[in-house]
Amino acid sequence: MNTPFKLPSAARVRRFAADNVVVLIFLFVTAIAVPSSKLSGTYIIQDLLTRYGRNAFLVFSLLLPIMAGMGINFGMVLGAMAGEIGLIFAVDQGIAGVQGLLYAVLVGAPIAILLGWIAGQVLNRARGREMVTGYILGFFMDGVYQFVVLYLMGAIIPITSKAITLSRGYGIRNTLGLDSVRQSLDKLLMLKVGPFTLPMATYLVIALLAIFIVWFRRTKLGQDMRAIGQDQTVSHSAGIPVERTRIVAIVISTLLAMVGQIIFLQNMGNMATYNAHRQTGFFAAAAILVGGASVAKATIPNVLVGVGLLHLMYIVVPPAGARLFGSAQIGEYFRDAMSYAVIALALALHAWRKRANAESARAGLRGAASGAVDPAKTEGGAA
Amino acid sequence: MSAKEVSGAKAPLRVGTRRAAALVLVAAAYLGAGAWAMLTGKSHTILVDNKPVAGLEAFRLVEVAVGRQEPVELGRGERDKFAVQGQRHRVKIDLMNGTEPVTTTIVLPYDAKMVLLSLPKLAAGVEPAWEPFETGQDAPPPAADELPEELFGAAIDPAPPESVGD
Amino acid sequence: MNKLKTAVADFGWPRIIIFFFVVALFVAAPFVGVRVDGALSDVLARFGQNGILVLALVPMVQAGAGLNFGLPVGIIAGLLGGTLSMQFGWTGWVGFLGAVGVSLPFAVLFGWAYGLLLNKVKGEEMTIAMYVGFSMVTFFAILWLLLPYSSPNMVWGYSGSGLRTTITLDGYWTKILNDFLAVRLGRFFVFPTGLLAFFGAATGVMWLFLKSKTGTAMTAVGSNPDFARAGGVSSDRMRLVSVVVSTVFGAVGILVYQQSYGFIQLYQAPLYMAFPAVAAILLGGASVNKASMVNVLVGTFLFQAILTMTPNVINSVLQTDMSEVIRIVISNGMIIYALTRKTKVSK
Repeated sequence: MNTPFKLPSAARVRRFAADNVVVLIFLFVTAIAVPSSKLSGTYIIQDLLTRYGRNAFLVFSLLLPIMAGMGINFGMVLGAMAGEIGLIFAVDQGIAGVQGLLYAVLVGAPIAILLGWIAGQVLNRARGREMVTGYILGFFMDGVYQFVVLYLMGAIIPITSKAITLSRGYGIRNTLGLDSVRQSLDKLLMLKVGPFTLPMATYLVIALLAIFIVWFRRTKLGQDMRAIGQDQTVSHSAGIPVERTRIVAIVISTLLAMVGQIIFLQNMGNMATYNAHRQTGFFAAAAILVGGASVAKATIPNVLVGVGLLHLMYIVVPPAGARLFGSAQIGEYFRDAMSYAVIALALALHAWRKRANAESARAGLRGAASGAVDPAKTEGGAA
Repeated sequence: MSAKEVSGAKAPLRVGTRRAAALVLVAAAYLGAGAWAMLTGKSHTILVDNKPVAGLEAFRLVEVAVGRQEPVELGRGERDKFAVQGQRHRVKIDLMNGTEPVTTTIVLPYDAKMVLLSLPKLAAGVEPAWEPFETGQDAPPPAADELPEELFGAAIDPAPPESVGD
Repeated sequence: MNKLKTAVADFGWPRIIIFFFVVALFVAAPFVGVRVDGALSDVLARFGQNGILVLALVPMVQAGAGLNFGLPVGIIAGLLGGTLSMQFGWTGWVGFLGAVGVSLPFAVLFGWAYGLLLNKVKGEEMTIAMYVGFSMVTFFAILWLLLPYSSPNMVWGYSGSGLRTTITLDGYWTKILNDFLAVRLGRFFVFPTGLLAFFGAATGVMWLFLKSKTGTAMTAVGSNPDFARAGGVSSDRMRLVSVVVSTVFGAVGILVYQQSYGFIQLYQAPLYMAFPAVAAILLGGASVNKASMVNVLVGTFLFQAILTMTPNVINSVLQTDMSEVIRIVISNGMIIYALTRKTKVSK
């Protein structure tokens, strides 16, 4: 991982461009789309401010697994599901306001810990292909979630409110109105600055999380995670419990995703019971990668930049598409295509560099001991 | 979760005690936060009712406020509602005839979703001035959004063919 | 006994459980009023319908490039072939074979570019392949709206441009393979001879390909890259060939799928189409680095049997539609099982 190339200073600019190509492409597209969207600056900024509050927490939940070398935790949707179950109970019990959100968090926490622990176990058995496994695990748990929410709730798990159950007597309705907790965190402390309203309480929660992550990195556990992210074998021989630490990283990530999804949904004000979590991992992954993070390195500024850039694009591209092509639909497909492509590109660039590094290392070794050291970790996914 | 604890422990002998203490602390915080959220967050609906009841006359005109919410004016036989959280509420009644407003505190049971609060009873000091209110039906079922429609056939296997073929 | 034990361990308990689950479904069917012959007929039709998409996964697994979650790349090529053939007004056999013919150059081109990319990212193929597939599908969603298709059977009626989400193949080549030499036995059972013959032929072609010089070299690259390199086989080239072949089979596979289905589905429809195919081949006993024709045939049959039988049987038993949940859990559980298995030392 240490910079293997000795660069002539003339190539510095190119190196910078290569390192940040994802961000630059994104900036370029958005820069074109902003004027053609004909949206007012005030509208864009206000929308961005809202979206920061809504999404940033979720994106933060990706940081720790990246630090622990597990890539992007697509299994964070498990946490999102736990949060949704918490909200279902908060609504059913009629706990309103911020207390309702706290209640949802408390109900969601044990579920998230359990799911995170399961995910950690699974990912420990899928070393070198954590990301794809996490992604499929999200699908798998989606099935389990459906089973619990659509068949068990109201049948075995007691649900008191008829307003949220299907008329057949069990299962939760397709859409869950969150009126009782709608924007209760956002509205707790609204700050008016000129034409803008800022949900300060939400920002405060996000800031606390950022501080927690900064602090966590310095703890023994955080140091261990970083060491594991660098090299598992070395960490293991240094006495770090590798498997356990990886599980802890996933458990914390799942917990944070649970809280993040609750913050997200309280802002939205209603919940598509069976679909709300499906896109969560995709949005969070796209955001952090757009912010310049890679699969192996992500920082708090990556999160903040990424959320801003991604959502700026999500705001401006549909109206820009409507103006340029006469169809907002094109804009919507375009932003999805962009986000998918950004994820693919960022992952590819990282894999590419990692391989280039491994190969140059191998080329150096081959002279001395031919084929003695194989980058086993790199080959793990396919070989 | 307990891994955080390990990092702080220096002497191995005390790890057990420290971990147990932390566990108790976490459990207490969890339960405390849960109790607080449930008690203060539980939502109730108070129907304020200005009708003659049990030999008590209804007021000609009354202004009533629950907690810090905006007061409402009720004529004879009228009824309105307040959405509240928590069980203990101050109800202020102003008869709008120059007399001092009367403030009373009522305590509702935790699991009462909706209560009917009789203002004449409250003013006369009858205990309890409220009674549980059962609605006939619990919100009509929304027709449009009955079953998760996109659920079937989404995600994994795109549209099973027999659904169209038959 | 020991041999049996290792065979079982080799095959894996989840597969055995699912196998018995399918058997149980067929046994239970008559008791809950589901006709076995009708169900079997459905299973056969869906077996042929999905088979080639599953077959398409084999070369990349053999070449060590992992499970092709980027199958939509090939599917898009097939969709291009299908829609262009319709646009040219070709119908019947000309239409279907024309669609296959038109899609091939696209499949080769896309597969080649896709393969070049995958060669750059060895070890991380699967996640990247998935997102390449996703971005390809969404990018083509824009093209379906913008490309100058004009056949009134395909474009939106009111605007006269942009392809519809679902295009019916009635009057073009609906069920052309299914109905070819189809044998009807009784009221409920139809044997789709043409469809199965086509699938069989495709399987034969793949088998021959794997037995060919290129095919064996490809397998060598997948099972032992260092050994292959020592033998003078270019790993990158072989992987590239495998991706192109996989993409071509994906294109043909979707055309076969659609003629049986009767519709061309565009836009977001192909987004997740790789997952059932992957689940099927794994169910048939394939692993992340080894797959055979038998895996394809067994897996596709079992998987389609589950998809066909669970809605009928389970719903009659439980009086509720749990098939969706069962399908999600089984197919993704199978994929997770395969991904978490210790990578076996190549034989």
